[in-house]
Amino acid sequence: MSNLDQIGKRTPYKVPEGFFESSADLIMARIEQEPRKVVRRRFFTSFRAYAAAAAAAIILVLGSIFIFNESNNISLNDLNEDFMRLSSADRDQILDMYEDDLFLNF
Amino acid sequence: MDNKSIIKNMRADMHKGFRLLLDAYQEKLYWHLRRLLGSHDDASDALQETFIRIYRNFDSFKGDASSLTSWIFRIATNEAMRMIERRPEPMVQIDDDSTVHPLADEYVDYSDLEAVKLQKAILALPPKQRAVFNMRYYDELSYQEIADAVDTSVSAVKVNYHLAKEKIVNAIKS
Repeated sequence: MSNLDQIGKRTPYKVPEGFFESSADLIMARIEQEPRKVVRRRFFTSFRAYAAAAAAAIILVLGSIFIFNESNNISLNDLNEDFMRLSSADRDQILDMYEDDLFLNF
Repeated sequence: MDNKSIIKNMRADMHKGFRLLLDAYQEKLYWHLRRLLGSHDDASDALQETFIRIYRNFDSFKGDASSLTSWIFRIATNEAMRMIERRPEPMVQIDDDSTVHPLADEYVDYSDLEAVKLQKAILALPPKQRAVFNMRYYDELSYQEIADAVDTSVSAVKVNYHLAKEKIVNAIKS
C-alpha cells in the first residue's frame, strides 16, 4: 500500500466552529442585496410581433364566433373577455402560433 | 437535495432555490477551495464570491442536472485561480520544510505529519493541475466533469491527473 493509500482523503485542514452556519447567513445576506431575479418566461422580444399576434388571436376568436354563432351581436369587449377567459397556456399557444406569421410581421 | 430539484426550484423561485443549492454545495465547495488555496480565510472569501457569481449567472446556465455540478465547480475553480494569481509570492516548494505559506494557518493540524506532507505536495503543483488532481482524488468527479470545470479535454485531464499523482507519490515517499 502506497503512502497515498495510507493517507487517503485525510487533510490537516480544520474549520472554525459554526463556520458553515455563519457563512451561509453571510452569503444569503449578500444575496438579499442583489437585484431580485424574476423568472423569465418565454415572451416576445418584438412588441410589434406581440401586438400583431394578440390581434390575430382576437381575429381567430372573432372568426370562430362568427362561424359557429348565429347571432351577430358580438362586441369587441365580449371578444376580449372571451380571450382573457382562456387559460394562460391556451393564450400562450395562440400567441405562439402567430408569432412568426409572415402576414402579421409588418 | 438532488441537482434536478435544485434547478427546478431555482427556476421557479431564485431565492428559495438558491438556499437549497447553498445547503447542498457549501461544504463541498469550501473544501474544494481550501484544498486549492490552503488558507481558511482565502477559502472563506472565495466561497462567498463563488456563490454570488453562481447567483448572478444562473440565468446563463442552460444545462441540466447532469451538468450543474461541473458548472458550479468551474465557477469555484476560476475564483480560486483568480485568487492565486493575485498572490504576491510563489507557492511552496516541495522540499521546503520551513514555515509554509499558505499552510501557515491557525486552522491546520500540524500534528498529522503525513497529511501535512500530502497537502504541501499538492500545493506545489501548478494551480490547474492541482485543481484536476483534487477534483478527481477528493471529489471523485468524472473526467468529463473535470474537463468541463477546467475547460479542457478529457485526455488532458487524464494526463494531468496521472502526472500530478506521480509527483505527489514521489514527494511524500521522501
